[in-house]
Amino acid sequence: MIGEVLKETVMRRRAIRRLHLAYLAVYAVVYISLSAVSTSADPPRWGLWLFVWSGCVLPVLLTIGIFGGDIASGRMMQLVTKPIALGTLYLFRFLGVYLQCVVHLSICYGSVFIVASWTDAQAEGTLGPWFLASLLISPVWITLSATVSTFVSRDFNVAVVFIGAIATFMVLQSADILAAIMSLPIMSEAVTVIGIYGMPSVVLLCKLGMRQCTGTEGIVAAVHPIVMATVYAAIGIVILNRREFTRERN
Amino acid sequence: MRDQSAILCNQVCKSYRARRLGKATSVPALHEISLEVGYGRIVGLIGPNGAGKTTLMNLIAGVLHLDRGEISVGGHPVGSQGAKQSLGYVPEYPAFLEEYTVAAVLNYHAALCHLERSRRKKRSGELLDQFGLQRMRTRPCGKLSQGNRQRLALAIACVLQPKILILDEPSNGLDPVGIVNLREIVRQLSNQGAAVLISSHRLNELEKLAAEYVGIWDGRIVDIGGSVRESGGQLVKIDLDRRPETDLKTILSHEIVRESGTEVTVRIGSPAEISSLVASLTAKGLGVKQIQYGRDEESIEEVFLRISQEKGARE
Repeated sequence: MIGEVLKETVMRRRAIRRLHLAYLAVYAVVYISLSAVSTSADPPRWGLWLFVWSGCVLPVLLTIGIFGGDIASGRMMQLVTKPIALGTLYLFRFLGVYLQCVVHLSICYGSVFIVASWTDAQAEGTLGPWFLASLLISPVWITLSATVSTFVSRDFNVAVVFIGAIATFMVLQSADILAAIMSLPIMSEAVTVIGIYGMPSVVLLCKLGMRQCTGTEGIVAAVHPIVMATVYAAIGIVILNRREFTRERN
Repeated sequence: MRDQSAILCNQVCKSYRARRLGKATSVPALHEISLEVGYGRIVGLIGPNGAGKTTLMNLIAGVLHLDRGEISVGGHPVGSQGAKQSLGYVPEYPAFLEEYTVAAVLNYHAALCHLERSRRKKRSGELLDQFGLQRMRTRPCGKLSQGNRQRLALAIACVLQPKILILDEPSNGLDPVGIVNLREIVRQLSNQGAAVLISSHRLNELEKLAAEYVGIWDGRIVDIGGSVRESGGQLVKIDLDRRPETDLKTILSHEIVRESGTEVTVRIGSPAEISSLVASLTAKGLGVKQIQYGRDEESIEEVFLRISQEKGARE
């Protein structure tokens, strides 16, 4: 059964397969263009770029309508009558999307590593942490977007996650600026803590990617995304089990 | 198996939340519905649009949650794994992964039903044959006609050879061949001991299939007489040799049910009254060409219209 559900996460929309190819094509074009103007590729920057695009944006795009689409179309009405627990379905779908991300990230980082090795001997040391950070951040975005998809209709989960992430970032930044203006160090500290620990682990993993973590920080950076993904997944499974499924009229 | 109820609904209540003039209100959809369907029975669910038929079916299928009451499916609480193992459900508007082929969709649903890989392929093949989908096994679901989508939905519902089948408007979009096919499949499943709850607005079709009916009007069970078809009395259809010149009501003392051209249908108490009926007509110079005698059977369509009229008159 798991094989069929994993396959479904890739096959359920032609757009998903195209997205992977489009991503690889864009990376190739950008890399070739930049390599032409620059004498050497810059692996640390490539690492950050891959972290943002393949580690944060791609997972969200891969979960487009992962549950919302099924619910709106009425497919969920058939799935829910099958002898499979909705929690299992959620976890298998998560696994399917995550495996795609792992393959995608491996290809991207592997390609950059091979090309960078010809021009920059330091590539191995700089790309590795970013690769690890990307592998750790992907499940957080996948579970967040999949959970949003359990209560947001159709394919709008992607928009909600992106807009929500931008809005949250802006609110935290505004609060931080306000705290600085009003000279409220406690508020500023609270905003920083919320930004680091209350949100998807972007800040922590960026530090990991840039090799700025101490031993303890490294452990926190590795554990935090796992905890966040678990919390998001648990919320998603609870919502799926509690909600009703009716087809949305066009 | 026949001793146990396949579907048992006890005092089932369901409301929907809605917003009216900006205020959240609860709109009742079902009021204390009690229903029992036995194994090997085909029960037709009838009622006008918005009466609550689909809501009831969705509750039995576990797609919606109950507000109050109890539902047991195959002896298991609704929504439990046991209930899901014995249930096949065809929603009113079946939907599939549009990019999947017919065979792939069947395979996918067979996998969700925990069938082993080898068994899955075999079962998919059987279903493709049974539902006449073999020719289009490689066609993407998005390119199927409405009728074929309906067949596929039925095939999906039958993956586990269900003991209980819930069919919500299954003949939607089916051509006459598809309808006959559906009828045969449902009868076959019923003969194998499956309980079938079926709703349809094609009452003539439903009549050919269902042996019992449950009426739902405004979210409540309506008594449709249990024995819908035997409403008492017997009918005699008489074909006269010419159109009567005088009003037949002045000639016959019996109730005239229908009168059209040279044909007249009269309700009688017993077959013995036929001779006096013919004598009255011949006495007035009317020749009788043919007489058809039968029980007064009220069709399900007539029952539906009668109840709708009664409901309308009461409101």
